[in-house]
Amino acid sequence: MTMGTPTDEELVIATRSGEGEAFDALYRRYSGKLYSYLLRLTGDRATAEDLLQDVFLAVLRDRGFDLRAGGFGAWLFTVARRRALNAARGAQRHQRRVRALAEPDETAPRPPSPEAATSQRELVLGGLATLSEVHRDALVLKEVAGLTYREIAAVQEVPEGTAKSRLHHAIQSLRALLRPEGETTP
Amino acid sequence: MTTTTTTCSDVQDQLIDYRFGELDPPARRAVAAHLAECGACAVAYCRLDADVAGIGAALHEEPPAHVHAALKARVEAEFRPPLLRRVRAFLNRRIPVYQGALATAGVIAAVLLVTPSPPASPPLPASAPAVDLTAHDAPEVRELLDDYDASSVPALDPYLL
Repeated sequence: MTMGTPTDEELVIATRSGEGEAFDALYRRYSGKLYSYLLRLTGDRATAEDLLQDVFLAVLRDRGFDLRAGGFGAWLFTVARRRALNAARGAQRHQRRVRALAEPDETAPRPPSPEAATSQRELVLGGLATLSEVHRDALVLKEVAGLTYREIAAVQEVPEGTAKSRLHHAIQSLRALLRPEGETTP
Repeated sequence: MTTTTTTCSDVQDQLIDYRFGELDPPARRAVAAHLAECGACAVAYCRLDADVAGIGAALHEEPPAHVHAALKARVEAEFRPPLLRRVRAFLNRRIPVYQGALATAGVIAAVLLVTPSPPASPPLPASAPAVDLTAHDAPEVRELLDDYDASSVPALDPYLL
């Protein structure tokens, strides 16, 4: 390990060789970002907590990824996205089965009115729920995970320009909710 | 408002990329120069920055502490260090000073308890019967005084010299 701040890749190698402090450092570096990302994708805390552990263990076990090439963060969120979407789809299937047994209900999410939302946080989270999955994903990958456009494109398996336009759309949509009419330019 | 090469419209299209550090250096410099000159665009950028920061703060959440403990236990169980390193870590572990002092005292106490005590020394022989030096006529006293010369130099033990 180098004398300065260790890289993600160095921490992964050290963790695999049994250095508990390296794992702690890796966890500190990514747990908040990863948990927030998983929480926004799944919408359920217990699921996000389980997935956080599963994703960490999965990337530590998977020695097929070439750590020398870097890009650990993008890889981590790629694994997280796949698992979260699988979990979310499983949950949706379950909800559909439950809903089929009950009375039909409104399914499309609606943005909360500013009067109804008691805080900026609720307003943001309510607005986030109105975005499509790919737009929400791009926004969280950028603002929470701190990935670059190129890394977001790699995670979403789309061209870089697509990732960029998704992010722009997500930000503009949310800003339209957060600010009164005419204040959101650009 | 326009600068030499950059219009407000150009800049406003690039503000999100500028906010995220995704512009190449020439474009970044051009936007920065424009923001320094154009109040309207600077205000627009400040609003954008505040909104995005607010979105980020609303989205960020730390996992509960028990998740770390549970995950660390799983990681430690799965990625155990080699035996040699575990032994070395055990030997090199930091021990507080008071624990070292207690351990030393314990060892000393144990040694003292275990070590057999030396055999009791034989009883001192009974001292010779006292001679009454005032009884000048007694044969024992006479024998002692016969060779006594008060003016002679006392004989000293050469080892003491």
